[in-house]
Amino acid sequence: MRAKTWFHQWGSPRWFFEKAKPVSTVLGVLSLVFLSLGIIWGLAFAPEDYQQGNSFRIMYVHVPSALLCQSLYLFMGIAGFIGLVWRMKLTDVAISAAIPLGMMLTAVALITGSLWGRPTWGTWWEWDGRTVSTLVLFFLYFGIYALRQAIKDSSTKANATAIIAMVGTLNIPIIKYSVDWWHTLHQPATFTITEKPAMPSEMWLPLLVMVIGFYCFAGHNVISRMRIEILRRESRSAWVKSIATSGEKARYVF
Amino acid sequence: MLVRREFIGISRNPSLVINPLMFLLIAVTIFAITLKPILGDMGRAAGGLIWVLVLLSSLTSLDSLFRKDYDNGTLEQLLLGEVNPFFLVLMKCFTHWCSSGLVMVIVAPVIAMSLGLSQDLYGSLVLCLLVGTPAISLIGLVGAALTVALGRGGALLSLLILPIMFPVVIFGGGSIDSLVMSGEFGGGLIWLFATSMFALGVAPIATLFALRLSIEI
Repeated sequence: MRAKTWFHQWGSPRWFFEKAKPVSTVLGVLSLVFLSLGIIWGLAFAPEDYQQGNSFRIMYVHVPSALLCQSLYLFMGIAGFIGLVWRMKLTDVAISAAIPLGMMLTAVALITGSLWGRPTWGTWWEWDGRTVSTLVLFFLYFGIYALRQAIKDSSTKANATAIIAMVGTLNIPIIKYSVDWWHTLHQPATFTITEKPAMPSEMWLPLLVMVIGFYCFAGHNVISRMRIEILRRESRSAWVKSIATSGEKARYVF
Repeated sequence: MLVRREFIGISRNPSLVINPLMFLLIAVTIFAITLKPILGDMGRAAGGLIWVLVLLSSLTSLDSLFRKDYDNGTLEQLLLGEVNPFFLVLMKCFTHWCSSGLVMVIVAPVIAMSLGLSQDLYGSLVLCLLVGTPAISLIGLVGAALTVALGRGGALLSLLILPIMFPVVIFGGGSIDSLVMSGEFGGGLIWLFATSMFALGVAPIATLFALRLSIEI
């Protein structure tokens, strides 16, 4: 019985709006702490790489964003599944909050990868397996974004997004595998950073801190956007109106 | 019964088959002219090109797949009718494949010849296309169902569907390339088959959801 109540609470935007506020705040503070710690540690104190010099330090932004953009797509796929099966309004709010962040992080991963590639591989762009998978991921994000732009009715939009996010998520492992397979077929003569001897802990510990920081930031960003989106969607309901007229707007939202 | 209806529809409106086919031939001509210097060499480029062209030509006919039935209300009737809608989707996919994929499999040797693929490989190319084209129709169906109610499906359909089609083109083009280089499929054919089977498992369900959404029941 309690489990059932707990489950149904997720269907209530108001419940989420109220309960998510402290979570969002905590994640925001954590992300500030982890990101500043990781950036300072990674950029100033981690040892120089014996092959790549200082250029490897872009890894502290590149790797977390590359990880996170995939996680966010997976998150959208799962949210889409839940939304289709249990008809929750909240999942579409979550998807709409995750799209801009995911798309931006995919772009960041591609751009930082390209900047990193120049000094290490000698080229801005190499059709390497991971590069292609990430680029395809960007296209997948853009497809969802374009679909959402095209549909006006909000419930149709939610369901259509959910379907395509699920299909895309199921496809990601296949895309990854196919790109790897294609990559081995062509055997390019580049050296890969990922197959280098294992990093010393002074290098990967700041990376770990950065990854945690990025995830906290994503959690904070997605939840904050969700809360604002809820206010927008529920703007006609009494509880939102009471917030808007209570004169305590800022305290409620932020 | 429904299959017959579809085929009668196609036979009365042959442009459904002829237009994508002409698109394919025109595109092949453009490639053959512009890429003349790098074609030849037993046609290393041919495999990839053929797959890309087949994919793009299939897309041209996807947009109209549900359009007419949607506009005149037949789609709604069919989905509400006594025929299992799942079967309906499979049937739609089968007829789309017959009118695009299968036709392209048939003309593939001609295209392969004009792009300079070595003659010994025609059989393998046809086999490869036979295994892979159903995936194109199946995945395309999801996009067509999602965009049918939007009116201006065209470009959006391609944006949605093309990234998901990557594995098909990679495995398809890759296995032809591998054939040209080493005389073996290099695992590509099996993976192409797996992709088609996976699409068969997922796409009809997603299409059905998307169709229900489009007609709002």
